[in-house]
Amino acid sequence: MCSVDEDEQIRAQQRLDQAHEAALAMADAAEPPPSTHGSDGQPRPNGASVSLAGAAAAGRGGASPARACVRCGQPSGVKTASQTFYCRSCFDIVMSKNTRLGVGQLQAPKGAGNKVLIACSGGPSSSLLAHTFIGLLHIDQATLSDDPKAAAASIERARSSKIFTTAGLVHIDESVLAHAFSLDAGSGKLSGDAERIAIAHAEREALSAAESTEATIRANLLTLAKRSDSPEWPLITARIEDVFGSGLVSGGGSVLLRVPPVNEVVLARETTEPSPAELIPSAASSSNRDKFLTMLAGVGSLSAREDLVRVLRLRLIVHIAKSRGYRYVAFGDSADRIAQNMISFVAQGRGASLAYDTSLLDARDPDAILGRPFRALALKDLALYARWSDVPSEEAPTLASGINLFRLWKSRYLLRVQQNDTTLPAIPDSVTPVPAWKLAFQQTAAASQSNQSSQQIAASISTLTEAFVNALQRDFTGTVSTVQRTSTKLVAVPPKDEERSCVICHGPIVRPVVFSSKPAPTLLTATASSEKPKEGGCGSGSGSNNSCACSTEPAASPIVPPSSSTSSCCSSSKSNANTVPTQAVLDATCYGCSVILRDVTSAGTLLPPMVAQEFARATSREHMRAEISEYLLSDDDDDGDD
Amino acid sequence: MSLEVTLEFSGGAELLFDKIKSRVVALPVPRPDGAKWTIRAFLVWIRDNLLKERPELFLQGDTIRPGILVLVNDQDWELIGELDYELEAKDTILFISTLHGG
Repeated sequence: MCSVDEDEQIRAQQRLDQAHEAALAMADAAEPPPSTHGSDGQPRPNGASVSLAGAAAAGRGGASPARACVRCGQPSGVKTASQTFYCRSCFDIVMSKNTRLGVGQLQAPKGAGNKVLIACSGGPSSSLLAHTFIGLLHIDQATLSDDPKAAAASIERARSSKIFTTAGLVHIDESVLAHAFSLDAGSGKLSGDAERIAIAHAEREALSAAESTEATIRANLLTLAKRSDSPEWPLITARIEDVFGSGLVSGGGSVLLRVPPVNEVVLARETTEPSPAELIPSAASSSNRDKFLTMLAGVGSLSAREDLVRVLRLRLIVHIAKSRGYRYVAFGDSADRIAQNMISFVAQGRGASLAYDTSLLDARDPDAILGRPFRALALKDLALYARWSDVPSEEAPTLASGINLFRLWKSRYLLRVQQNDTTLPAIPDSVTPVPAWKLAFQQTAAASQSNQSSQQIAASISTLTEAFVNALQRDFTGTVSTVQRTSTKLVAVPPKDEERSCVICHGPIVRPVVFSSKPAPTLLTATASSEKPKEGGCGSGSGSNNSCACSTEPAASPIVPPSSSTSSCCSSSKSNANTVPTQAVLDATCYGCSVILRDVTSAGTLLPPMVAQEFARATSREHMRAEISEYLLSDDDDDGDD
Repeated sequence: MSLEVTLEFSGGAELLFDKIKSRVVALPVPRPDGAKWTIRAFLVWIRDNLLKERPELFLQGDTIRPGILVLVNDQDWELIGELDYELEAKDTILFISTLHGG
């Protein structure tokens, strides 16, 4: 059931608008116009010497005329995405209010011990969200009494007046994707040793860049969390490959995912920065990494891969939130992202859950309510405000952008290799066997009919949509706000049968679908977590091309294409596996996720254990319902009896 | 003679430029064609001297790719003439990528 209907959304929007206007009016009346500009000491461009009200041109050489700040009349320093001119000081004031009002829209009973988990990618929007929460939850220590009891009572009073009492940060480390950059970069046909060496250099650069970016993101988030005056602002970091974590346990109808404790840092004000040893990844992550990459390799298209990563990331965050007692999860989605998602989600077959995916509050799961408080704020404004508010941010490459970066680096290294650049570090000879996932990527690339040339720009549906919206926004400045506001008018239709939700993304299932264009996987083998692989079965070819990644994780689900019966050991060795036809799997997934499954081309592709478990649960529920169906009284029977 | 300006990248744009976030570049003065150093000309210089490959990841036509913000001395370039702004010595030009994944 959806607790946020259209009326509620409209009322929330109206409240926001009214509060916004009132706040701005109040600020205008109460605060004198800032008298100084450029307090950062930066030299001003020519606009700084322009007289008030934009009487003179700001730039030379036919530049557009200077515009005055709409609040104070001083020369403006920024043009917002909505084409409003502000000076820096007024921009900071307005954005501070807008971000706080956005967070204030998250409806929750005050003082009820609400815990919110802030999902931080490390980018400007989510980092600013954490910054805003820190400001809102701030309790001024200086005003507290010296008496500890009185101070504690004051803190309790202050907290009870706030919507959220505690917050935490969660970050999903996706540096594992760097392994996949090279494998989809058109490296199937090597022209010679030079190209091979260039690829090896570029691979190394991609991995080191991913590691350093993640380290920076983690340091930035630690810096942010330390600004909080709360004794405990945990920063929980998990790796995306942890969806294959072996600590998956089932009980009470919920699935808990193990988050390696070594990756968690609980901050206290007095503690120093954790030593690097505390941030060493868990030992299990390498095998999880292999499984994750094998799964990714088995999915044929870049769009489906990105969508799968997005869905799994979301589920990982929700699991972490639930297991740690956070009832709310806040995301930093800006208006630009919402507008892009509006189009790309429809293109990817996720129109049925669009109303939830773009809503301010997604309360389908009452134990994990998802909020998007920045959904009405433009990304440009957020990025500039984050920079000027000293909120550190760093963007990690996605699959598509990483592939493009890899191709760029490869070209540069190729040039250096061909010029016999002696400054290039030596590449050690590869003596280790090629990992199974790497072979899987190569097989998938070879099987792909639309093999992209490495000279082309790698593009997925989401990146193309982003480019489309950005280009439109540049020429028609109302694009993003129009599309985003359209999303507020979407009405979520509650599913007829509440128990039917997708086993992969938990979205509503509202289809049947007929596939015709691409061959679909015909079998999904779901094994119970207690089953062990048989001797000589999966994994017997360890280190060779025959190795099967499902051997070490019996709870995972291999998806087996019809033609793979001879090449895969999974289907033959697990004779007691619960094998079901494709249609049963597709029936248990929403259309968007079935589109991902449709792109599964490789044998032995594993889905995370949580998916297998949910599929087994959904199947047993359906089976039980079928068994007792003849004893159930239907509406027709009632009519007949009457 | 040269015109020294500071060039900065953030938001993932630095990955296109050897992961260097800030650098001082010296532009030859006068330009070969005798014209002044505008941002339009500066972008061409960046493409030819720093980027070299795959300019479409940073540029679109003769301007910057949509989704990458430009600040000149911490001021929005849309206020100062965008491509037609004439660079001065010690200017700081910052490119912030807001693209997903940088």
